[in-house]
Amino acid sequence: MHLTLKQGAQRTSLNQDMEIITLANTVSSLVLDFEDDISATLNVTITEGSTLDLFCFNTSNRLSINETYTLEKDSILNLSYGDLTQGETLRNVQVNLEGKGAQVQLNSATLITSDTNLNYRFSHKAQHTQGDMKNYAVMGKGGNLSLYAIGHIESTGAFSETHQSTRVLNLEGSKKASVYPHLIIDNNEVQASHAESTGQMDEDHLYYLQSRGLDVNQAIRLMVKGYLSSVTDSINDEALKTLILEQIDQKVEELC
Amino acid sequence: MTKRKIGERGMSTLNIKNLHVEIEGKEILKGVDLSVNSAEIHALMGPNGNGKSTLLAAIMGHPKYTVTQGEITFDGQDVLKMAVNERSKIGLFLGMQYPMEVAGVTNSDFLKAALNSRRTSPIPLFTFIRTLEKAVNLLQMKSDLAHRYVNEGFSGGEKKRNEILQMILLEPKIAMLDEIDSGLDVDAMKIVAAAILEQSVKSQVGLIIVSHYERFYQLIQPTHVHVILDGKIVLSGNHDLVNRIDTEGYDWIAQAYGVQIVKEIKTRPVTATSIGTCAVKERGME
Repeated sequence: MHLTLKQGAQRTSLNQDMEIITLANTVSSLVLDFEDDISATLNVTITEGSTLDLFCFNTSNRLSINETYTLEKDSILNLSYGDLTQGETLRNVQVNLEGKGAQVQLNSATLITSDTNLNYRFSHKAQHTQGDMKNYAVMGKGGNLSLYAIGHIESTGAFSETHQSTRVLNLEGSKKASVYPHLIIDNNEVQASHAESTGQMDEDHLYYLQSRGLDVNQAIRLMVKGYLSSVTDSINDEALKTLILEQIDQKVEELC
Repeated sequence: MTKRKIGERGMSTLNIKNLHVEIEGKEILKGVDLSVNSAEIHALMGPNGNGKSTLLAAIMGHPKYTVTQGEITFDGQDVLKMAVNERSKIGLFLGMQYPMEVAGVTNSDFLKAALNSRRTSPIPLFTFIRTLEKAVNLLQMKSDLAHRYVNEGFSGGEKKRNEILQMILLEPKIAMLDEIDSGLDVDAMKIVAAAILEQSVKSQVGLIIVSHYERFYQLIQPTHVHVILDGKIVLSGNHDLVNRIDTEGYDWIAQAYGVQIVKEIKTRPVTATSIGTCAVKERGME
């Protein structure tokens, strides 16, 4: 399936291999729904001077996908993932910042209820490229998490920046979370940073919410929704954003 | 002493008798007695480390504090048997000295959830927005408050105003405010004090206020003043007591009542740690 994105917003389902290309110097947004059982590849090209806001909403039963993003000169990719699946997930994401001045912002929010393998990689191949990755995961009951977050500034990527942070929240009864942050730097004129944290629900946070009348489960659900909802910040279409927030609410009520 | 009129919500009373509280095996409160009625304003004074915040946290049910002896009742109900959220729902409120930052949770969602926790049906959206806007205007807060995450990125003063905003919306019967004036500049202190007094008159909320500043008590005009030293209320009086403490400190009270003032031990704050791979320059990691 081939999709050429023009100016404006779209929503569609991905259930087979897909190629997407933006038109030069346009601003477009796309919501991709992942439903049922999916094994596919996704190749996206963000052409020179264009901006793509892409939100991938995963409520599938099982997902196995390889995604490749190619960013040309001065292009911008705002890439968000909302994973609210009860099935196994394997996602490999390769972002190639090939054009000078290309930028990627990746935000992921994942509620883990079955085995989940996430591999996110930025390759900074050109000068003055920027990458920022923020991953949030909530470990629900059942399922292990393996998350690789890799920022690679190649020797050709002078004056580039790559940043990443990953936060994992463990709920009672959750399984193992493994996070592997890597910064691979092959040029000295760069900026890079990483931050990782994993831990239980903060006792003082819970107490604060409880002191305002929420019981433990209400407080946990509110915090989990907060964790997951942050990825919808990149959605500009308010109606769509509201719809997805409602779906997140519903899923969290079901799964937490 | 100011007498305030009790309105249609009726009189509520918080009673504390011979309360002993410890944290991590160390006894902090050593027999506190206190009774607070609707519309009364009680100032709780004392040097740092002598039990003021511990008393308020124990009343609210902070899990780190263990009540070893004594009782707390609210309108005859045993507060110590209640979970933290139940204490909130019967009408107790604690405005905290260090309000928590809750990333990802907007003020709007938080306040709606808090309001709905004490209602049988969800608050209508229009009613919620109107109530929130009114409180935001009263406290002269920024209009984007509803969409910001709870206390995240707030200044010290904004956090304290946000505590008062929650108090106004939740309409407690007894509110405890722990150093709610710290972090406020002079103008902000006046705004916050006016909002507290308005709430006191409007809903007859009974107040227990911890502050170190005479200036704040001048604005609030407490009806009762208590001094807590070494885990006990050793002296109670009226506003004159605030003035004397402001000029003479606490040593005269300690001497008169034969009490040792506990010196606060400052502990180094625990900072968040980051665990991860540092920047490396190498090949072949792919």
